Amino acid sequence: MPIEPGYLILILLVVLVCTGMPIAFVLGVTAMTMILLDPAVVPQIMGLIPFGGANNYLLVAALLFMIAGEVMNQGRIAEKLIAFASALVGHIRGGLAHVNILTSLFFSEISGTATSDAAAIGSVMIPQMKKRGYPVAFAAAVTSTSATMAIIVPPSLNLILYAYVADSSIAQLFAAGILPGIMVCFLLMITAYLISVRRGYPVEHAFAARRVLSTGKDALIPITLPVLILVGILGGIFTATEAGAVAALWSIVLAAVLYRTLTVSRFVDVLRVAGKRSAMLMFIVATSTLLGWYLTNQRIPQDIAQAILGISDNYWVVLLAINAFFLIAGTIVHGTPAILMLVPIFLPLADQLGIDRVHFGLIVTINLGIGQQTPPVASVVLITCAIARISLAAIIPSMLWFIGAMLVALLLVNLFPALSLWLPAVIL
Amino acid sequence: METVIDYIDRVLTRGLDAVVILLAGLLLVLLNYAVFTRFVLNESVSWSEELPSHLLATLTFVGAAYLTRTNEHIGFDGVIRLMPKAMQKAVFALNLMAMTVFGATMAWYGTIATLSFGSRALISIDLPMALFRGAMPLGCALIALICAVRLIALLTGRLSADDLLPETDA
Repeated sequence: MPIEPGYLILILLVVLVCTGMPIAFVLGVTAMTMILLDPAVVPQIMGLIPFGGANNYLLVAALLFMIAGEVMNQGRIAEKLIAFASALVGHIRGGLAHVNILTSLFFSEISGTATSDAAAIGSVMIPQMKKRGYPVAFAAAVTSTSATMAIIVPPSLNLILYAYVADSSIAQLFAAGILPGIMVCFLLMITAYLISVRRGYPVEHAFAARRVLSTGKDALIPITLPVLILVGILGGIFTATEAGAVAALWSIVLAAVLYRTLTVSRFVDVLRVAGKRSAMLMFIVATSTLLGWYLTNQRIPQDIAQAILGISDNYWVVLLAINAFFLIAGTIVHGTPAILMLVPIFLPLADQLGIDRVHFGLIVTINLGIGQQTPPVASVVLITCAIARISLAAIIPSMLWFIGAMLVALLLVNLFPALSLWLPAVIL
Repeated sequence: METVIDYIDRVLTRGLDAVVILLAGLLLVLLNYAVFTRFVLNESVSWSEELPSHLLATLTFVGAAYLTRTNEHIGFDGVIRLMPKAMQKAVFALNLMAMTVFGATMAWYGTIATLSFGSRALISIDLPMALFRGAMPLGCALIALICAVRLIALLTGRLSADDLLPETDA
């Protein structure tokens, strides 16, 4: 009996991923094999579809936000945001942990990626926390888990990708990410507070409105960047790509003129880094588009949806299964390929269950964000460990409470769709 | 002493690096120019979407070849790291073979597709479509070439399995 295409694809994907082949090639080689083996498919399609996938105006935004984030990194803005966050929350028990988390929220709205967030904030905050007597593992755990907010709040790269794959409004997704992002921040701060009280971690200083005002002045300028992005996109003034262009230009002006940290050679480096990251992402998009075309051509996503609904058509059971799947997938695959490979498969199922696509986007993103806080794929954790100079094994126990807090946030987003859908409904 | 292959490799890597930087910079300038004309001059440029998206596709395939050369495409290394060195080498050799075939196949069908567009231009600006579509066969041919050279280097011992472990930081 010939093997079903769906099973063959699954086997190929799993085997090739395990061989260490780059993800973009895993998708491409699988698609090529299936197309060449299928006499019903014209192979010439391979010359057209990948280019069509990469030829995408919306995804130009990802490159532009990467440029903006990289330029702002050069401007040492993390230190300004930390001073402001310290003035706001440094007086709470476990002050530096809260400063770390709140700065992450501010920085997330500039960087768009969790790795940049962890690297920029971790390199300043972890040594400071260490000096103040916090255990290194705790400092690293706070840094790593709070960096997850970068993939929930705008301009999250994962949300841009999801918008492309699910054919959803990027403005709605960006608006939908704001409340869950703030909620994750709040829950992480509660967790840090409870741990700090129990272990007797220090407060930094008494609250002083004057300090808030003086540090706020310095932080105001970098914060104009996310404000520009949010007001521009949510106000219907810019498309996401235009907002990316303006954000990149504004960050260059700030770094070159105001902070005087951006030299020509650094700018060339920024273009190189952003260009390479964008190409990496887009090559995965190109090859996943080819595989996605084959899957759709064979009606495999619809068959999977039917098979799952055949087991149970209970909304909550299926939603739980989807959550579990994305959570596990997030631990073994990066966010980018996970969204590009899995969302097209699960989207028909979400549609049949009546889950709003914007709500589903947030569920997917938060699951993948949590999944990426655990090995084997844990790039954010690994970066944090490198900065803190501790092993992966040493950081894991300290991370468990914070991962638990994020799971609570995930549960709430699942149970109450309004958490993600209310804001887009109000402002768009 | 630098061999011919080393020389070609050095020139190719520098060339790809320059093209990636140039395309990223060009996209930044063009998009900001489009925003400027739309919001300041109140007159949108016709190519504001089509040209940037074609340039992004060009960046994708040229950049993919560059990342193949620098071994910076992301992958999952959890299982391969557990294998003995000899097995890692065999697996990487098979991977490079598959990637060479993939690159060559995509280059072949990409060339057919590019030629099929003949002298057609983009809709919004008089630039030949082949200029952009050609990036796919070019990038994929380079990928095939780079993988084939790496395969030979791996089999002849000039490259170790450690050099081929995938990038794990997205």
